[in-house]
Amino acid sequence: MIKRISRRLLAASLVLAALTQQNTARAGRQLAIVVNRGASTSSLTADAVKSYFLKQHKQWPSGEKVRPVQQESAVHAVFLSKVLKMSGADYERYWLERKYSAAETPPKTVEDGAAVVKFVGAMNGAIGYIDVGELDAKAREKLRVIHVVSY
Amino acid sequence: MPRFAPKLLAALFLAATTSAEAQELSLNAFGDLNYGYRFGDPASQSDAEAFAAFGEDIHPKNSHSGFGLVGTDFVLTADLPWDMVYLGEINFQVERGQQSEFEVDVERMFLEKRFAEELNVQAGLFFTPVGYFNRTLYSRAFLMTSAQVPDLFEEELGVVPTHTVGLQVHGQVSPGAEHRLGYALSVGNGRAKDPIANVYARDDDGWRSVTAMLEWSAPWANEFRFGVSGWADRIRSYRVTQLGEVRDTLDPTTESMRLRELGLDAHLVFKSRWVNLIAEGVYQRHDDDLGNLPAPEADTRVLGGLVELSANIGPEGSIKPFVRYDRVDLPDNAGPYLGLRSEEELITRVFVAESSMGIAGVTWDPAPSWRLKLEYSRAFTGPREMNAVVAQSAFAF
Repeated sequence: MIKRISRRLLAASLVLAALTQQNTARAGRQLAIVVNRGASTSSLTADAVKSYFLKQHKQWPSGEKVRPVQQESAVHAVFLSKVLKMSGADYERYWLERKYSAAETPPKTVEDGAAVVKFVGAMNGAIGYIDVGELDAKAREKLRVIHVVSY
Repeated sequence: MPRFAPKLLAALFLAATTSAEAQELSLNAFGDLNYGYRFGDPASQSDAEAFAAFGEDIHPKNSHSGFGLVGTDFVLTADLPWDMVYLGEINFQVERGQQSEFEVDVERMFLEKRFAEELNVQAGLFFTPVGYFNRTLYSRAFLMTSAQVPDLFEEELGVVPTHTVGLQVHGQVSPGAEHRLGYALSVGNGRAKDPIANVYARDDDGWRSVTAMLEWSAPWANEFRFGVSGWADRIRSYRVTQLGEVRDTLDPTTESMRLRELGLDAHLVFKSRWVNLIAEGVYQRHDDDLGNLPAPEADTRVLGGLVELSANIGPEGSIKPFVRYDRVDLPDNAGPYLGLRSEEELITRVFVAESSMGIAGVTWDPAPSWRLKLEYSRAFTGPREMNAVVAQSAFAF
């Protein structure tokens, strides 16, 4: 009897643990907007992040040139929808218009989160985005998180 | 726009791209194909008769009957060292009124030094910093909702000076909370002896045009802008009063005239998830500067504007039903200047019609770089047929 109850409890615990882990994984994914560790900015609103990536503002308050960097990876779509609030098509059209009317080019594109860490860590004024899961201790030494969104 | 030998242009274009050691190059192209069908009586029979005798092409270039190639536009942007940017835009286009001839136009060619967000200096050929349509959409079909360029901003009608050769200073300041106040100030060669002739290499009339613009952008919805701009110029030309009259400018009996031109523009742009509004109005006056013009010609006014309302529906707002109203009111005989056309030393007066037109249509973006349009337009005044249907496929990449 006790053995049977223990087995059921164990099974229930395993199911519960699995569900909890799944929910944590689903609810816990976050995208971090990061800048170079030496930047004077400690936090930014989502509107401000948007204006820097769309090159509507091109200077930090300190006067430093803003150098946005974007990724080719799947995180880019999350960044567009959660931070810029734009679809991929809107984003593409936006840059066609900006290139035409203002001779502005889109942010530099790198392959993945590791490349973002490398670029932002090395470049004053740089701003990028990265999945929080990719922010290890070494990356945190080079970068400062200034805005976080969940997805 | 000047006509150049295509080979020479290609060589210049190539030289600019290779010798500059650009850090980053970007080449984009814009183009469109059209099919138009116009029907019904002219909106104004008397205008149609005057046009038949003394006019130039009446139709917006995107809406002739039958198939039409308007042109292909190439824009090269290069980020150069020391925060310099080069932009060259070359257009292979069918000139309005010449349905079977292509020409090569240099639309823009400038070098810009970006000192700071607040201060950028541009030198070369650029869009005159007037209003919204001229600076932002210009005549690129892909960027516009309707297939038709409003008469007010049609380069080949010359109501608004669309291009300037000279210097432009522009930038923006941020009053806070993502609001931006942009400005532009340009000094250039200004108007020639007729409104569609450009003054690229020289400007002998002794005056330069000055244009100034202020634009406030707010972080509301997808886009919000409100701006005012104005330009001032002095024009030296010749008095030709009768439609069809041709005068030799070297003939001492041809009377000179000098005009002061003042233009004002106001624009409002609002784009949200569901609806978009573009509204723009222009007021322009020409005043006699020599004191030799009789009363009706000495002081003339032009009023014009457009209002466009569209909705974003369908997947990712890719379908846009829209309506637009365009209007240009001209003084009698188009005033002393807007009806003039010159060729070398000869200057003549052509018939330039007022226009008032309503457009209703729908656009669909099957891909971010491709826009299909279908629209119906109704001319309320002027020599055009009352009705037109236009289908357009516009692309950019």
